Amino acid sequence: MRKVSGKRRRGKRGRVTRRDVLKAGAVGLGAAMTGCARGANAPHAGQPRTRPNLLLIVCDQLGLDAIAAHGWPDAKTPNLDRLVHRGTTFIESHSTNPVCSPARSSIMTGRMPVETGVVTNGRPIHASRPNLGQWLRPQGYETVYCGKWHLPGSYQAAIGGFAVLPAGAGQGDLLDTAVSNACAAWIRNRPREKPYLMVASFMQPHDICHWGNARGNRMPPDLGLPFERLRDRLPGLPPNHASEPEAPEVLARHVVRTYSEDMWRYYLYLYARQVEMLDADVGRLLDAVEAAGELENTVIAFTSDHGDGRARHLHVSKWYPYEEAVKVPMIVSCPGRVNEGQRDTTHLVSGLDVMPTLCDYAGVEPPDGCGGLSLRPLLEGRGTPWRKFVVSEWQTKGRVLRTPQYKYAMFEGDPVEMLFDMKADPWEMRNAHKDPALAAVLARHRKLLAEYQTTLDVVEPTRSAERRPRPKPKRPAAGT
Amino acid sequence: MEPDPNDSLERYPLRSLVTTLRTYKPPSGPFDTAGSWDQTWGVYTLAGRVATARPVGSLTLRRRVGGKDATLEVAYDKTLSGGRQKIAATLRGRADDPLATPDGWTFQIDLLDTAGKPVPHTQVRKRAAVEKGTITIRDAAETRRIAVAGPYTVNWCLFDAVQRLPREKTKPLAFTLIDHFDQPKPETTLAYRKPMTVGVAGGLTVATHAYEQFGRGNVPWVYWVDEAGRLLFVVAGLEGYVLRESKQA
Repeated sequence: MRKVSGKRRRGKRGRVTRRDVLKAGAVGLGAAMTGCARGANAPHAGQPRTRPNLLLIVCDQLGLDAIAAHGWPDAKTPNLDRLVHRGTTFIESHSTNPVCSPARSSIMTGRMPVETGVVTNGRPIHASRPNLGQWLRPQGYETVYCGKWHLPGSYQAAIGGFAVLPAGAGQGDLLDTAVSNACAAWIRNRPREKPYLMVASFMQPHDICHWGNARGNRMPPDLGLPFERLRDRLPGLPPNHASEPEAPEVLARHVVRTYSEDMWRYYLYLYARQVEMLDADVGRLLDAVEAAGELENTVIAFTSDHGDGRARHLHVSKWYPYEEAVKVPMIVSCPGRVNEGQRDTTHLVSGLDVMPTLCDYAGVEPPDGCGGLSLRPLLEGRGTPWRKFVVSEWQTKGRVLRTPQYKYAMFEGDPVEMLFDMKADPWEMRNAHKDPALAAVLARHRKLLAEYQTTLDVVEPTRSAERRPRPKPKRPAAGT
Repeated sequence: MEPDPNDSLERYPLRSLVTTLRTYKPPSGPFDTAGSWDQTWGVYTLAGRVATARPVGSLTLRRRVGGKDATLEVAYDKTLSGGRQKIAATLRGRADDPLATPDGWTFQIDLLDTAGKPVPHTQVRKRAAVEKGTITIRDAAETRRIAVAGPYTVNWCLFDAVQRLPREKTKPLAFTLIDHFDQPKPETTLAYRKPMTVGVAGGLTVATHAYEQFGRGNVPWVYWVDEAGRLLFVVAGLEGYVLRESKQA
């Protein structure tokens, strides 16, 4: 399908090629030549001489519209709302792969999962791909990581490029408060000689996996509502709850048919509470930045690795190409540098864009071959040509290509493709891949995807740490 | 194999502790929950379907009553991946307050590495005072004010309060939960749920009363107290607590 190589195939640094433009998802050379693509980051007029601190907050399994400020009425999120109102939020924001490790590898490197070697959970980033810490530490940044990593270990005592604050392991309910306390204390107490890059990586609302999936299921055992007093507080079901559009066979495995309506609504209730837990811990970090007197000198970026099914399409969890799994928040705030109260509903952005954006604010070019675009021109209200599509991977063999109006998804070896008109059908209830009126649209999206794939610098998947063979019991040595 | 009676909707979410309860020997005899006492719970992780086999830490509460006031000392110690977290707090309030509401508290959080050394720059030391509906939380760098309209309390104070609540259906208590000493979570309610018989070691049972707590920013918590009021078990989201020691001071 694609040529596999470990070598960089990009031309000389700074030289923009057609391949670069395709990879950036732009249709003309203009985008790649504006300085926002491929890291041609000249200093911007009016840029303060001091380099800002960079606080990247990554959470786990938070869908784009699971925040009150993004329209979800069932959770109260005053701190995330504070971030939205104080910065710029991107509504067309996409995970590069709606599952933990692959998406995280993109956030940390600016490359697609097939380029980082992290095509499933529990794999390390390919040694040839520097992460944010490895890239910014030599540039004078103090780099600190706290919380979930999952590349490959969920929690690691050592991470290349970062000093690690060991705030624990486990699920969000057990961990996130320790993460926020440690990060907040560090922000307030740290020595001030250098600017910092801190990654605060929260687990919530991933805890929902411990209620709603097969492993470790803590949902009520006999399909009832365990707390009658909650009945009038349960959220309603989404309009596409029972929708099952024609889809590749692999998606059928993720449809949940055993829940009663009470259970679905209880599931949503729990998810909302877990989002609120995350919100409280984000609030602690925002307060710490304010208390340190560094609000206007700290670029805060907030995103998630992927979303959650949230009872849409009879789904829980992630792994599939629907909006609830693929769309994630991307919020950036820094009063005085980033436009406040800006809601960007048009630009297609990606987890790929985190690395080049933070590099841009640090005054550093991103690594060669980084596939993302700096969001900085958009954050500062400067017009710039932008990509025309974004691509996500799903379940190793699946791909999603999203243009402003359409979503195209395919799964290698399955004849059923998916095509949704996202303007006419935002809840993805009608797969239009057989609609003769959209045959040309389908063909164009296939072609865009095929062309895009040829631009990727694919590496062999790195070795998974999650499926190790069990060690054989040691036999006693002879004579003992 | 017979299903474990603790693993049922009726007793939900006790199923999280089924393995632990099979070997659990509850304390017995009278206990003055309104007096001075020391209690220690094992802390369990409930990330899977049931609790970890061994506790990952402990919580000790020391309640001391002097006249109309009470002091609650908290010591929480949990093993982490790559270290330990230790929390120490002292909370002061009225001895007869139904929510064990503190009117002032101090707390300290230490993060230790595997060698037991503090992780640099990560210590939290704060103190809180409450006046006219405002909680003021201070440390060396920050003064934060939280307005609370109406009743409030701190999470582990509820481990104390629930031991003295009526063991029958009454109007739910509504309050703002100050979680982890500084995170306000409004619209929290605590209510009597029902009497519940819990299976324990040796095929025996213990009579308990269950209370349920709902609110913003927390999944449901359930508390089980015995007939004397001792708090035997708590399932607080993905953290479980099982009473190990309980003695009058």
